[in-house]
Amino acid sequence: MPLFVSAILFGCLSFLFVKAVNIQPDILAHLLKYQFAEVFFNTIVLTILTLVFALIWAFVFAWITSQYDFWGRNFFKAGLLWPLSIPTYVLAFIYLAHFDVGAETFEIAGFRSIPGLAFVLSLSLYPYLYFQLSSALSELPPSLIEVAKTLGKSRQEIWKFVKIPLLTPALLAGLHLIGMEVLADFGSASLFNINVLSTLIYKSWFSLHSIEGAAFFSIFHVVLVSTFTFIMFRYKKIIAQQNSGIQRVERKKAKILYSFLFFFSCLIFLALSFFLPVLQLCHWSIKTLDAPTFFQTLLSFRVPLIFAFFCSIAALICSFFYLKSRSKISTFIASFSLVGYGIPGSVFAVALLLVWIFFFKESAFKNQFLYLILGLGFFLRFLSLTVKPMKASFEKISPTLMDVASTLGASQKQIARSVYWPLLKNTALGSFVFITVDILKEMSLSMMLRPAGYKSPAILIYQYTSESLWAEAAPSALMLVFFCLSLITVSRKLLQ
Amino acid sequence: MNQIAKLKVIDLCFKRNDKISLLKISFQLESHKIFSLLGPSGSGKSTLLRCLLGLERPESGQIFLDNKIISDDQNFIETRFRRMSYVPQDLALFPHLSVIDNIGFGLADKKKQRTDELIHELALHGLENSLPHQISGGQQQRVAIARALAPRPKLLVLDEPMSQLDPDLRTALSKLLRKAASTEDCAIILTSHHLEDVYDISDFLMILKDGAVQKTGSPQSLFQKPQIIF
Repeated sequence: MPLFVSAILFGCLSFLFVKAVNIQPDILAHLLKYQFAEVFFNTIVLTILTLVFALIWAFVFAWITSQYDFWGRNFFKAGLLWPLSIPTYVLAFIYLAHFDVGAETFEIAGFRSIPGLAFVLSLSLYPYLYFQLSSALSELPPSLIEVAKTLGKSRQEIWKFVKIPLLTPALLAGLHLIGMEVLADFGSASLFNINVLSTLIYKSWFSLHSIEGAAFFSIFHVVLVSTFTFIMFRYKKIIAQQNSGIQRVERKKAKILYSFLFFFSCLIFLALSFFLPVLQLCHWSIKTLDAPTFFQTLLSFRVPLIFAFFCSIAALICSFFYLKSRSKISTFIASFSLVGYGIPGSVFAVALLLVWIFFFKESAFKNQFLYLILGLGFFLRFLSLTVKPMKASFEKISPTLMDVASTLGASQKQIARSVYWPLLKNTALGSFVFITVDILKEMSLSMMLRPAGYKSPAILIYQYTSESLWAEAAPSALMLVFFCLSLITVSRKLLQ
Repeated sequence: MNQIAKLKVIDLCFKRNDKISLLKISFQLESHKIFSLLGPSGSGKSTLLRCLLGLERPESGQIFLDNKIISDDQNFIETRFRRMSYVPQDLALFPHLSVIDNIGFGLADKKKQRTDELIHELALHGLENSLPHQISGGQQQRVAIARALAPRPKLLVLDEPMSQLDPDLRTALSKLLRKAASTEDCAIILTSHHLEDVYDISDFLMILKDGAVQKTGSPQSLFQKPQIIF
């Protein structure tokens, strides 16, 4: 199965490569001369700024909630993950509606800029890092710090030589996820009218009608994402470590003044990143929501949910083929087949569209095939969301369980049903939730590959917000946020 | 010969959440001697070690090291200035550092000379560049002891060093500690649940129960009094 998936993925990327080398020279010259330098600069600066902002928010709040006991701590510890349920493009249009030039509420000159977009993206994406850092900080073994003290190290030296190196894997894992999201972002950048690589791919195709141009920049995008991933993993490998055992850090009880300070800083931040945006969406929805809009919005969830259902089932079935990699080659093939999550949606869209053009464009069922291609795109992109957690959970199950069950007379089928499945089912359901959330939120792949008549919440939001119809976009956005929030809450419970 | 006490503890008391954890603990210990603290879980052994190391501040009482006061009602020398080394029960080897970097962690100068010396003494040849998770449990313990001995501490503190070792490793560790006590100018304190684990290596034993001293004496004297059960 990994070989089959890898072959499809390799085939798609080959189509992309072949098309990219056939780019029309005049279009290439135009794009390189007028667009490329700006787009490259914007993409890099946007990624770095978002990482810096997200690092600040995530570190501050992970530190407060993992090291101190204060009023409302348990609520904020969970609540600070909620902004993850608001897609970046939803937060982007809410902030634009309030702070852009000509906004009714509070005009901030230059808000529609790279720092403005980086700020908004960081508000939505920081939970990836917050979650990682929060766990790492709670599990910093106290005995390591105590030993460092007995060996004469000062507080600063302990940070430098012990804490930071031990936190670095979590830090890099979180920053990597955020960086990938920023590099793949299409919706917020196009709302802010900032040219980045993903929007350039879209423009090359839809404005310049050059699929070769889109393919060319897709290849460049893949190279950029791969370089970013390579740097992150190379560094992560250097400082990779294994904790001997998990010891929970004992939290200090915050003094009254600090307790107030922590409470209000968490509250204000959560208000900015979650409560106020959701309240604004509620306000707009009340103004615009009527029965037809409600049903149109509700119906827009139907097809993505069907996609999510089938993709999850397919990914779950596939994941069983990944549980044991025997040789180096099979491990490599399995790893390659899971790189889809790291490839930006817009790149996937171009590759799959090329496949569709090659095989199905002349077919009488070309629209139906486009649905199939879109489903394949979701499957290839989100397969790793099921396979990786399933593999991790499987590896945690002691092989002696199977031996014991066998000695008690259980057959292979019975062992699978009554030993493995009960231990794996929560992970399977959790990954089902993650795939559903991601398919619902996915914008670039849906936008670029949408078959005629295909609607999803993300497409509805894009259509309204691209014409600055903020209030009209609100019902879809609100439903999407609540849907994602409920699913994330359910998955957290399942994975606990 | 009347030796000067390396460590002297007088009437040490410690409270946690208004509950007495240590009650008027007094003892003294000379250089090159091994002192074992015995007692069941919750008897106050680890708390006493933490007070000696400066990781907890005692409620009252005095601690002297080399005749200098390091803790009393007015003075409290910070852990990092006490020159006491610690080997916790989980060994706490820095997982991101190699064996040689773990051993040299507490050294500021003459790092290479001292680490080479300890690698030789503790038979850690060939493991210098390994990470802690790449070596066996017994080797990890030797690395933790080498790291603790590297800055030439005045007192070496080991929390439950025998608890997870098989008989062969216990014998090896006993020999190692005895050798360290004789070659280094330091005293050694360790804790244990069982008298048999520390009988051979201890010069002096103290049995704690509910934070108070139940009995003190040489291993032989305590072993001959089976009524002491905890």
